[in-house]
Amino acid sequence: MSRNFALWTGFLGGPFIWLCSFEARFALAPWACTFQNKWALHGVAIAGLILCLGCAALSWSQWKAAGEQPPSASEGVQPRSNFLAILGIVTSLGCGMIVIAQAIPEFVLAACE
Amino acid sequence: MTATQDIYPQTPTLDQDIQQLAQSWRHPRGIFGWLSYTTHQAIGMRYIVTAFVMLLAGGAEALMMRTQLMHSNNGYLGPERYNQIFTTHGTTMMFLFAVPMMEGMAIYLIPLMCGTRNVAFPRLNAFGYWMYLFGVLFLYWGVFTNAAPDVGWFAYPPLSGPQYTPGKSTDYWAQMITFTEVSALCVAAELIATILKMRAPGMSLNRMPLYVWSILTQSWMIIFAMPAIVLASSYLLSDRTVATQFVNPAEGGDPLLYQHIFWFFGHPEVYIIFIPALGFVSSIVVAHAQRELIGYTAMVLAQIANGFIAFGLWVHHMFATDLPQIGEAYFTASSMMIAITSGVQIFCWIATLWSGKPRLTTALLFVYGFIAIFVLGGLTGVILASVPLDLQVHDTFFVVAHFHYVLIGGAVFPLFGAFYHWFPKFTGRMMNERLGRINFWVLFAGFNLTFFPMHILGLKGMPRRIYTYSPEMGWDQLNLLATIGAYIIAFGGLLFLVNLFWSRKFGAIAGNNPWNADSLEWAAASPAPNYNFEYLPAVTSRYPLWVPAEERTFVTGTRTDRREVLVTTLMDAQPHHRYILPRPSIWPLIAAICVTVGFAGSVFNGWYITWGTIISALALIGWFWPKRPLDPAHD
Repeated sequence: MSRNFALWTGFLGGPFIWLCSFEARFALAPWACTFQNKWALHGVAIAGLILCLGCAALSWSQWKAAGEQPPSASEGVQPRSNFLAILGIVTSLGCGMIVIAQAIPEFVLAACE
Repeated sequence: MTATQDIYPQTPTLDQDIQQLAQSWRHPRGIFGWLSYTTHQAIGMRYIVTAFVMLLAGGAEALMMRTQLMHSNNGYLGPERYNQIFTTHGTTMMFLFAVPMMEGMAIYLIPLMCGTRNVAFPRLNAFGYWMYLFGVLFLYWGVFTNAAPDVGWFAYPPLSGPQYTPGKSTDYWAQMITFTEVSALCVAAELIATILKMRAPGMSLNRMPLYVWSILTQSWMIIFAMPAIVLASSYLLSDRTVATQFVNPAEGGDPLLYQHIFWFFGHPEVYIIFIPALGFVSSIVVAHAQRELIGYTAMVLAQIANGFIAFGLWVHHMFATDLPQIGEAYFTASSMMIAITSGVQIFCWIATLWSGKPRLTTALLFVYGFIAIFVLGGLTGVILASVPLDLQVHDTFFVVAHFHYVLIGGAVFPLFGAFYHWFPKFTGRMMNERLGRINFWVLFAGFNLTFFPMHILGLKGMPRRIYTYSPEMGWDQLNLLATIGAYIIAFGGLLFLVNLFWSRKFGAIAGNNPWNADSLEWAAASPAPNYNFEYLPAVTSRYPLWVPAEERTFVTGTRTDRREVLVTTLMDAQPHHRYILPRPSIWPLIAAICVTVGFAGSVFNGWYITWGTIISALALIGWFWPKRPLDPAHD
């Protein structure tokens, strides 16, 4: 995997996975009511969370490869890679947090409420 | 930046350069020439002026509504006329003012901020403007021929369907959407290409100004959101004109499908308007606090996160429909999450202002006003994200208050700040600061007097979209206050216009960089010439104009005898190749007229789609017909 591809995957992967998991759960909500079973919702949420964490880990590895520096405006590939890697770490973790926040109602509400 | 200095072995003197640049980039003469302009300053300013006229039109409609609601049982407007006025107001403000205004500002500013000479596709830029203008004329032609739409700016079926709204008014509305969205997609495509491939050498992603990040985010949002509304309006139009069955329940269609698709566009639309305004605020804060922005990375992150999360909120406009509660709860969660990313930006601006030496200019006053109003609007947004609370105030004036706090506070106040900030670059003259401060306080007072009482009216149960009410409801006093506020806002708008025209003629000469600002647009002359920069700048810092003058670098060796720009790499903005932009052309206007024949005619007869497609294809052949000699310097 090229370095730039890894950086972009780590950065944009988290939001993309969150959107997919969220749309899938929204589409599955009527099904969960019909079959009185929320496991499909939980399953998609867990898969989404794992993939978001995977993107964060990918960005983390890129950040380590780029020298583990804080973000800066310096010139060159390393500072720019650091910048994108840090964006990727925080974005992916943030998206994982939204996946968890959206999973909370699944535990609080009954399938047909 | 020595790598950038020998791209082309040509070293004319500066005077020769400027003469050649002026010649290469000069506008064609005459009315025919005027219609052929393709420079980003000309097209951007046309967008800004047209959108400003739309702001005045939408404002006049708002005044008519507020006059009608001033007291109970008022007979100033009848119910049909009131429906037309609030629909045209919402449509004008959302589709014909807010988005095009933000696009116009971006078209003007982005090439300057990126250190290049024009947008990537100048003729597409011109085509987008003409499509927008024809969309404006199309809708208002309906308005002035007593066929104004009257189904709300969202035109929900079944109310907007052929059974309940016969005639052509809704067809005009639906097809106007297509015009403006084609225009928006043109602008988004050219701005993305400009930002990603035409930045000044050295302007790597970690050095891009936040305004440029905001426009990149907004443009991608347009690419993903606008097709949804074109689809929704096409469903509606085809149900109405050729009796398809997409969203018309009388024919077995699904009106909820329309709502989903409309709001999949409609909520991101709010952020499409609002995110560029965040970019304005960042530029103004940095320039007027005279210090680097605190939390640049966090700000970029928050803007992009806003852009993504905006696509996960649409159902919070549909909480009153019969959707599964678990499904609604997902949208509550994401609606609350977006408050975090918005809050991050507010704290970064406050920290920057707190630790800087802010000059209390009119532009910065508008930023302070934005922070106060937008935070209040955000708080009511969090309230509306909760399903039970939303159901209590659904379709009341509480919602009207909320979205005006968010949209006027979040977008229009920063926009006025941006006018005061960039007016010197647009015209070469300063706006009057004393009149500007009065302008701000009048607008701020008028705004809060108009919209704050609407929260209380909503909590008291006053519904939206009613043309009058009975005195027993007890809503008279608050409505009167809101109407007085609306007239104060109008007076504030008048003050702005007076300041604009006075300053245009008599304002102090600005010079290149009157604010000692940091970004590249201030390196160009004021007003910027057609070619923007005598030498294309190269960048060694995130704040390139705060680098000592003797350390600044620029690109030499690009040809000045043709419209040549430098294409750079996406990530690090390293010089890649030279690119020749096309000369001015009348073909974008001809193509827009041909497309308009197809779009407008199809409202009356479906065959116009066929004829419009054929003549549009012919226009495109003319547009792309190669000229001899092939070097655009000579065509």
